[in-house]
Amino acid sequence: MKKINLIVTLAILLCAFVSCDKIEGPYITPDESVETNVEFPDIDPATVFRKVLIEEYTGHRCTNCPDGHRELASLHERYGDSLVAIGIHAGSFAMTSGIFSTDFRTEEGNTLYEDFTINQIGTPAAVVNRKQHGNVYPLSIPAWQPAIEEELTHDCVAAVQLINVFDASSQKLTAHTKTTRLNGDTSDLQIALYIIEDGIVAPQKDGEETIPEYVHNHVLRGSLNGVYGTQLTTPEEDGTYLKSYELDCSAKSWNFSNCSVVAILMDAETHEVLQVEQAKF
Amino acid sequence: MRRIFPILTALLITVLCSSTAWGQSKWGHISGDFGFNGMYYIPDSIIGAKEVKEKVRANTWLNLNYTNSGFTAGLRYEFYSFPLIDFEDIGYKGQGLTHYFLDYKNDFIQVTAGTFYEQFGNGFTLRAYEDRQLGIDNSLLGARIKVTPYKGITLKGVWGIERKNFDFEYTKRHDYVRGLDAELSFSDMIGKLSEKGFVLSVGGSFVSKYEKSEKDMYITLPDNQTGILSADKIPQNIATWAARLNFGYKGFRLESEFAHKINDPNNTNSYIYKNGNSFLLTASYSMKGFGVEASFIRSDNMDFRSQRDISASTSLLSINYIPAVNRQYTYALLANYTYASQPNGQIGVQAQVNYKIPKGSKLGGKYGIDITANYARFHNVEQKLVPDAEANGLMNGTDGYTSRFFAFGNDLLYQDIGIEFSHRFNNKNWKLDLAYNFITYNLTILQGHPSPMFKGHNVMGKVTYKINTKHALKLEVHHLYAKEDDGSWLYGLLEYSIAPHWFISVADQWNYGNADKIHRTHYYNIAAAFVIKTTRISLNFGKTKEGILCIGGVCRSVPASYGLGLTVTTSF
Repeated sequence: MKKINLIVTLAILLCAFVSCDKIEGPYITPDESVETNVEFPDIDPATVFRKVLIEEYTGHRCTNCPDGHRELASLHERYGDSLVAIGIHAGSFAMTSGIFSTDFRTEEGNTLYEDFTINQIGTPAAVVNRKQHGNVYPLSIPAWQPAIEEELTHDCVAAVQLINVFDASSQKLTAHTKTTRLNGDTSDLQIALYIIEDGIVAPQKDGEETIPEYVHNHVLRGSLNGVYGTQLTTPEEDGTYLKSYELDCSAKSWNFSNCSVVAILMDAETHEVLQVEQAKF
Repeated sequence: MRRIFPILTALLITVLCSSTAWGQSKWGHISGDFGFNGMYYIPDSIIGAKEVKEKVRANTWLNLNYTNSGFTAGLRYEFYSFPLIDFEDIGYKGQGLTHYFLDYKNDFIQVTAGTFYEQFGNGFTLRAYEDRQLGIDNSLLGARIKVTPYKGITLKGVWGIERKNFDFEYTKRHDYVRGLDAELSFSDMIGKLSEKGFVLSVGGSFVSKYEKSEKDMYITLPDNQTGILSADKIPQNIATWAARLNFGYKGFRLESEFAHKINDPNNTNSYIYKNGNSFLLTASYSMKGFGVEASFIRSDNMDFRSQRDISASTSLLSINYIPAVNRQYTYALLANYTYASQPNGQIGVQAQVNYKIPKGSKLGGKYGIDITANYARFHNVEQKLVPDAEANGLMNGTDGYTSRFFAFGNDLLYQDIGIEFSHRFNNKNWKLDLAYNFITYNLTILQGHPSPMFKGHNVMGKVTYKINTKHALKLEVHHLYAKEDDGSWLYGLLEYSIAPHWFISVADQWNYGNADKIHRTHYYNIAAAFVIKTTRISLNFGKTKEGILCIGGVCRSVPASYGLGLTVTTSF
């Protein structure tokens, strides 16, 4: 009897590990990109410089996060257009509660928080160009600047041009991009388009204090083509890639005059950011 | 996993050190083997043997096992940092402790932790095995349990991560395999069945692999449109199951296994979602002086790997195994036209008849004549594209095709018609073997280079003369007549052996019929081997043709080479 019990137990344990996923069709979803109907100015490759993306993970209930916001403002002053920042509210300190009623969290932000293992150090943290620096993705505040410095030393492998067309009456946004490879780069490329908003006034903890009218900048609001975007598969005759996406913003409560699109060009395999561009609506 | 590794090593070293002092005693027993297979390479532009920078390359390994009662511990160190060029070509390059395990076994249970090999049934759902010649080692790192609750009942459970050459970063892997197998042998359970000459067993297995799906895939559709196969449409858990039957009564035997695999879009099947299946049926009958065996096999979309991105051109990370049921030859000139099993699409038959012309008959002479006749034919499976695949102009991201179970596809893959005679005479001091084969081989599908269908007539003659109890001489002559591929070949071998220590041979393959005169090359080989107890040392010098090496229907490419080889193997 003991033997039978043992066998049954083992069988149940093993069965728990054994499973299968039956997928129902259709399997392919069409790429929802739209026609690129704008003219991009010619670029001079000699004038293209590499920009660095810093994704700052933060939360309105995070007491130390304003230190990160201040550091980011300082880095922006130092590096100017070479640095593009996205503020991602995710993790437990981004949850709503009491006067912290504004929900800044997004699906994209939650996914990135998981994928880049931000909970290893918690907020405030930042990921620079979606690369590991010192064998980890999330960096604490003192490590942000050295990582940016390191990234700025790398060659520029692509140029990204971004033109936004915003129809104020229909509140429809169309973001057009053109990607040009430089320096013989051959990696598979992927482009993601995010929306960020500056100047959002809402409560924020800052040390012991709670600041009711804190100004939140470069807050991630969503994306036009998913968290990791779309691969650039079909080049134009001149070898460049055009990709355009639309977004109906009519139901959004954003202040459009403070909104920008951030175009993130990354390596399709590693998701390492190769170039980034930002343009207002 | 990295933490387990030093613990296992330390434990093993401890038991080995303690037991060495006592050798074979109550403290246990140590066994193992060592191998060195090296070659000095010489470039040869005519045969395409490339210059090897290091000049000398070698594969080296050492196995050590310690056993004491029901307990076994073992490890293998492989040094393949500068391997033979064949192995470098397939990515089998590196060094490290590749095999390490602890195992305990009694009459009821066997448990293993570490790396292990296992096979369920014919291997349709799981075959973790090693073939050193092919450079295949897909052992699982994990755990295994085997239980034998009653005589004739065996239950197995495995879970682990497959070995991927010398990539030891198991903690970074997002794939693993788990499986169950059960076998009931009624002839072992019921004594009367076996007493009456019956053999009856049934079995079943279930294997599932998990692989994280985190990236969308992109497919170029007609009119340059892009389709997205999003990560949530790529299955992470993929299962196969199989059922098998083995029945026998006296000289008659029937063996069969059927397997089914659910949607498994991967690189080898162009990322289609069609279910896979395989079926093997073998029936045989034998009596004194006569035997007949026939097999039918079908496998469709059954290439099953731990990682979906692995290419079909390598055997890396294969979870299962679909055997080749055709006759396996060792004839030198047919080596490059050996049928490779096609897990993703093959259907075929194999039949063989053995007959012995009786001893003492007019035709059979004093010792009789053994005759073997053989026929094998394999096609691709029938494929009718599903409407989505038709519309897109490619199968990727669709259900691919439909296929009637017993319908042969239009493409012939391989055919073999053969007959062999074997006869001893003059007090068995002389033996004569004669064989003829007509081989039809689809180079385009089986080797991936577009070529006309290869048709070759191979004739083989072998004479063995036993001079006395120690000395023997063997002469082989083969001729392959063909118009396709490299054309016709002639092969000769002369081997002299002085038992039990020495073997010396001279051989030459001459591609006299090559359409390109410059490639009418002699691939000669001079070899000598010395054997003492369990140690074998062999030297060979010569040329090897670029081609393939196949064992049991699994093949790998062989680059052209020229040089001096040294092999040392020993076991203890």
